[in-house]
Parts: sequence; C-alpha cells; structure tokens
Amino acid sequence: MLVGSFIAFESCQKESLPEEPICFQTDILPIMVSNCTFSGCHNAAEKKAGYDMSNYDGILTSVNPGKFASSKLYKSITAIGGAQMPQSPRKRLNDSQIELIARWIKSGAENTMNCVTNCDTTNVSYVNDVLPIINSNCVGCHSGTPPLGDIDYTTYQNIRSGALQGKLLASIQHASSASAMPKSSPKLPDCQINTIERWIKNGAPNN
Amino acid sequence: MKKLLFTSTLVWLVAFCAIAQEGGMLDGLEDAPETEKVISAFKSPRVINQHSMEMLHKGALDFRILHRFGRIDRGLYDLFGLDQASMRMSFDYGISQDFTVGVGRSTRNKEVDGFVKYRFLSQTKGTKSFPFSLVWVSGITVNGVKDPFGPDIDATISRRTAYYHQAIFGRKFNDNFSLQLTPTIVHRNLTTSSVNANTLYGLGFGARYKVSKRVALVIDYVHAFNRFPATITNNPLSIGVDIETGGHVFQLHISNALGMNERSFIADSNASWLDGGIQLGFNLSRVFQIRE
Repeated sequence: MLVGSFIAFESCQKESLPEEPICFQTDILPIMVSNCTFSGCHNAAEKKAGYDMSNYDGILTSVNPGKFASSKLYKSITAIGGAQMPQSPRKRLNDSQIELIARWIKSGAENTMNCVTNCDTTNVSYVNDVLPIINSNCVGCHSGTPPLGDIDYTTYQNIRSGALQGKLLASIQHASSASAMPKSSPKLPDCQINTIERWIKNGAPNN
Repeated sequence: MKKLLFTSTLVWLVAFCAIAQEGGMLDGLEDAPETEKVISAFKSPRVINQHSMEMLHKGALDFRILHRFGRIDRGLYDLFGLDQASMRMSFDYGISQDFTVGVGRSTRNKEVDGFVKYRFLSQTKGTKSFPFSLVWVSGITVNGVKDPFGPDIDATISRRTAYYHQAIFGRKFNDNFSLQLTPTIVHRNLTTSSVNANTLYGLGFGARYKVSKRVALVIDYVHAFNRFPATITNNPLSIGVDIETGGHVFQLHISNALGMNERSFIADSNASWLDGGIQLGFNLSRVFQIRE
C-alpha cells in the first residue's frame, strides 16, 4: 500500500490534448437547430418548457457558462429515460457532438461568429470532414422511423446514394431543383458546401 | 484521492488492530479450534474485467487469453461481431499466497499493462473468523501506438501512461454467493479532451453465483462517477458465465466495455448498453503450477 500511495502521489501530471477553439455559429448552433427545434419542441414559436434552442440567447438560458456538468443542457443530452434529450424515439447526440457542447460551455459559452477557418478541400475525407457536417446539420431530422422526407442519413450507403443522385448538393446549395436545406435555417457556410461538393466530385468514397 | 487512500489505510489499520487483539486473547488457550481461510470466492483472480478478491497460489502462473468481439447488432454479415476481435494476453504469477504480480498486452492501443496485487486480510472461519478479504491492486498502463496523439504532440512515456489503484473488499457469503466492492481511482496523465477528467473515481461491483460445481454466473460493473459523457449506461457492465474444465477456467460474457485493462474499460468511450452497444467476449485462463 505504501508503494501504491507513493505511485499515486507521484503520478499527478494533468494534461489534455490541445484543441481548436469552438465557433458557436458553425459548431454548436447547427447541432441545436437540427436536433432540438422540431415542431412541438424547443423552436422560437413554441418554446416547449420555456426553452428556445434556435438562437444564442435562448440556448444560453440552459447553460451555466464555464461549468458544463451543472448545465441543464449538458444534463439533458446525457440523461437516460424520460429526461433524455432529444426525446425517444430520436437518438441521443453522438459522443463527439456532446463533447463539442461540453467544451463550448466549459470555455465560457460565448457567441462566437464569423470564425476564420482555413478551408482546405484538397484531401477531403468522408469520416473526418463530410460526416461531421451531415451529423450536425441533417441527421437530427433525417433519421428515426420514419425519417423526414423519407430520407435517412444515418448510413454511408444512404448518404452516398443521395450524393450521387445530386439531391444532397442541390438542397444545401439552395438550388431550385430541391427543397432548401437545412430547413428554415441559413445556408451552410461556403466551406462546408465546398467540402461536400469536392467529396462528391471525388466519387463520394468511404474514406 | 488522498481521502480515499487515507480511508483505506484507516480501515486496514483498524482491522489489523482488531486481529492483533484477538490474537492476544487467544494466546495460551489450548486446543483452540483451527482457523480456516475461506477459499474459492471466485473461480478466477478476475471477476470478468476487474480483479477479484481471489489470489493465485504460490508458484502458480496464470496464462490468460482474453477476446472481445464487435457489436452483436452488426448481424449475420459480421457473424454478430465475431469478425472483429481484439485481444489481451497476460501472465500473472503468484509470488506468495498473498502477493500476485502480472503483465499483459492488449491489441487495443497496443497497450502494455502491469500490476501488483496484495492481500492484506483474508476472510476466515473458525475460531478467529474474519468477515471479509481486503486486497489492494496498483497497476500501470502504457499506450504503445506510434504517434498516438498526432504528429505535433511529443509522445513521451509520461503522456502514454496511466495508473490505477483499487481496494477490493470481498466476502464469500455462502458456498454459492460471493460479492465484492472495489473503490477505484484511474489517473491518466493525458486525456484527449479538456472535458475529460484526468483522474476518474469509480466504485466497482463484482458478484458470483454458483449454479453447479463447474458453472457460475458472474456480474461485473464499475460505476465511474466522473466519466465523460456522464451517462450511466456507458459505464462498463459485463454479465457472464464461468465454466471450469479441469485446469481451465472459461469465462464467456456479454459486455459494453471494449477494453481489457482498468484504464481502458473504465475510461474509454464504451458504447451504451441501452443502445444495443454490447459485444460477446471470453476469457480463457490456464493455470500452471511451476513452483511448489
């Protein structure tokens, strides 16, 4: 036990990997809008339970800046059973989305916008670049049974076929041939649209 | 952490004093009935993932091969996860009846781990009966992947390293049922995200119910108090069957935990067992008596 205590006391190095700053407008808001503002839920018109998750001020009412573990928002997205948000049968957010939200709260929950991103589309990866955009912006509605518009974007096969048919790009570019997506939200940032466009031109590979 | 260590030290000291006193009272008594150690609380020195209160015999070498497969819900195409296997191989050795050391290596993270395990108190029956066993385990894990943190972060030994310490309080209630509680701390020198705490506090539960001479049901759960994300269903829970076949113990189980060392199964992002995130796994243990 003495050896154990010694190791325990000698081992208190604390470090975490360096992280990119989080941009509220491009990283957090799309997750909230696509997962919380369904009809009958936390949108600007209905404000279920008093929460409007469609804008910064509304989201901030569920946040204790600097302390994610005691924030209502974090508790809800990590709860199970009846308290879980988004409510069943919708799926809970994935771990990387939960992590983004927790990091945003921990870093002060600021309304960062017009963030500078270096948009490099030379080596676009499905897993690292395209999928996070789809997960944050589309999967909230295009999942479950039945998914909205009968389009289910929870699998690579379905995303690939939507991409190769041209529906995916047309909808996010707000072209007239498809309904504009994400629904009742501003267009995705140019960088994200360019990333998806480049990936489709590459043949929508699973890379 | 200090509090935990202090508490366990205190428990140990109090218990030690109690025994010493009892011993004093019995000195000089003749024909004292014998005191027997309670043995075989678990079939193996591991419940499923966690260390159990059981120790190896002196001179015994336990060669263990552990497999964890992919998610069962992958369906027939992946043969319910059996197409993806990750494994850990380990050698544990009993230096004395109360002291075991071990080393192992997992394919996940190419992680090497080592531990020392010491039994401070044994559950006994007879004259000097004592109600529970207390076993201390301290271990270390080292990530062996090349550039595990990307090309820009210097992967020093310290950053690759994590530690765990635990006190196992275990009791065999009767021939069939044994239960243990295991306060545990896991410290990682480096975490992948700032919202992931370096030091995790957990309470392990392990139980065995013997169904027949050779077969027992086991359950193994660690409640981690400050895991990220803090959802109870992502804590490692395993339920299994121990089958003893002359010299081998075969532990077959289902679990949501991917890892096979304490850092990995307590701290890594396990799937949720409400969400179908479970996989099959087995532990195979072969004990060789290499010294008398």
